[in-house]
Amino acid sequence: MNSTEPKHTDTSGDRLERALRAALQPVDPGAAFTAALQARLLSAGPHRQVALLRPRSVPRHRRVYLASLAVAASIVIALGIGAQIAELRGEQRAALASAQQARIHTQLLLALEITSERLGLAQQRIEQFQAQERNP
Amino acid sequence: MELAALQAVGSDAPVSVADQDFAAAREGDADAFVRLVRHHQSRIFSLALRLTGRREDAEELAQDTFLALHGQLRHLGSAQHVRHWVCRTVTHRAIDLLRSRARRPQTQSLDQLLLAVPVADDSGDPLLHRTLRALLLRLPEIPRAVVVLRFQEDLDPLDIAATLELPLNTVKSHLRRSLDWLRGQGLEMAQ
Repeated sequence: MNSTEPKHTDTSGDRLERALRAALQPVDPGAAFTAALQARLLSAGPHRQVALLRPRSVPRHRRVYLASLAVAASIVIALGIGAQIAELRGEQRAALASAQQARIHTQLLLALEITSERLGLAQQRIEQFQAQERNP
Repeated sequence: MELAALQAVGSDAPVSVADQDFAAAREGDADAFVRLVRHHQSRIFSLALRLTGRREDAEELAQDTFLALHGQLRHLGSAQHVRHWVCRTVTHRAIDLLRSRARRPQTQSLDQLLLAVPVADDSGDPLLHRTLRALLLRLPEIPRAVVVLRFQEDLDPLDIAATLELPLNTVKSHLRRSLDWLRGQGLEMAQ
């Protein structure tokens, strides 16, 4: 503050507070804000209505009933999932065994083919020797 | 101020437009709820904006607050109560957001903050106002909330203490230290 101006009783603290008030003037988020909020309210509407209509406290016997129902449902779901997993694993094992069988079959055929080819060659050689011996 | 106003609301108080909208919104009137939102949206959005420093965060926080308000209307007693509730809720949510993101605004330079601070329609000294808003973002979340509630919402320390659930002396201390810190930043303010 300028001391040569005694009329001004304004302190730097007052000026800072005034500046803060001016700097922190509320700003409007715009029309899009309200529209977006309305859209969110509409999308969440039915659930919210149900939530509003639902009584705050559920009676104890109903809570117990709902809890046992939830536990029973969880057990059924868990058993179902377990059976599904076991079935899937069985199918995987069967597919694996079938693929292995097919591979063995192919290898066996190949081995038989090679053996028959070699037997043919040996037969040819023998016949050549025999022909040479007959006609030296 | 807020709490005093809340206590002052009696059965013989004149029914304001805000009270009418509140009562209608409570009964499920969607248009009345929208009017209620429009009545509070500038304050709530600005509060979130000054606390988080990011427009997108502020919009999300403000919308979440109004959605929560929609579910809470049955439990609120008056339009004044709504005003207090939305202010308190958005402040706590903003503080939670800042904490969860573990931001360190202090590590950013003032220039970076100045660039990040959203531009508002400024009257007076726009650069000073923008600098002040940027400086506020360098304060930790609680002192920042104290300053914003004091100078944007015009709450007195007692109401700030109630809103932030802090002891009165802690609020006064945050306010004093924050103002001292701001004064020490070498701001040039016109008289």
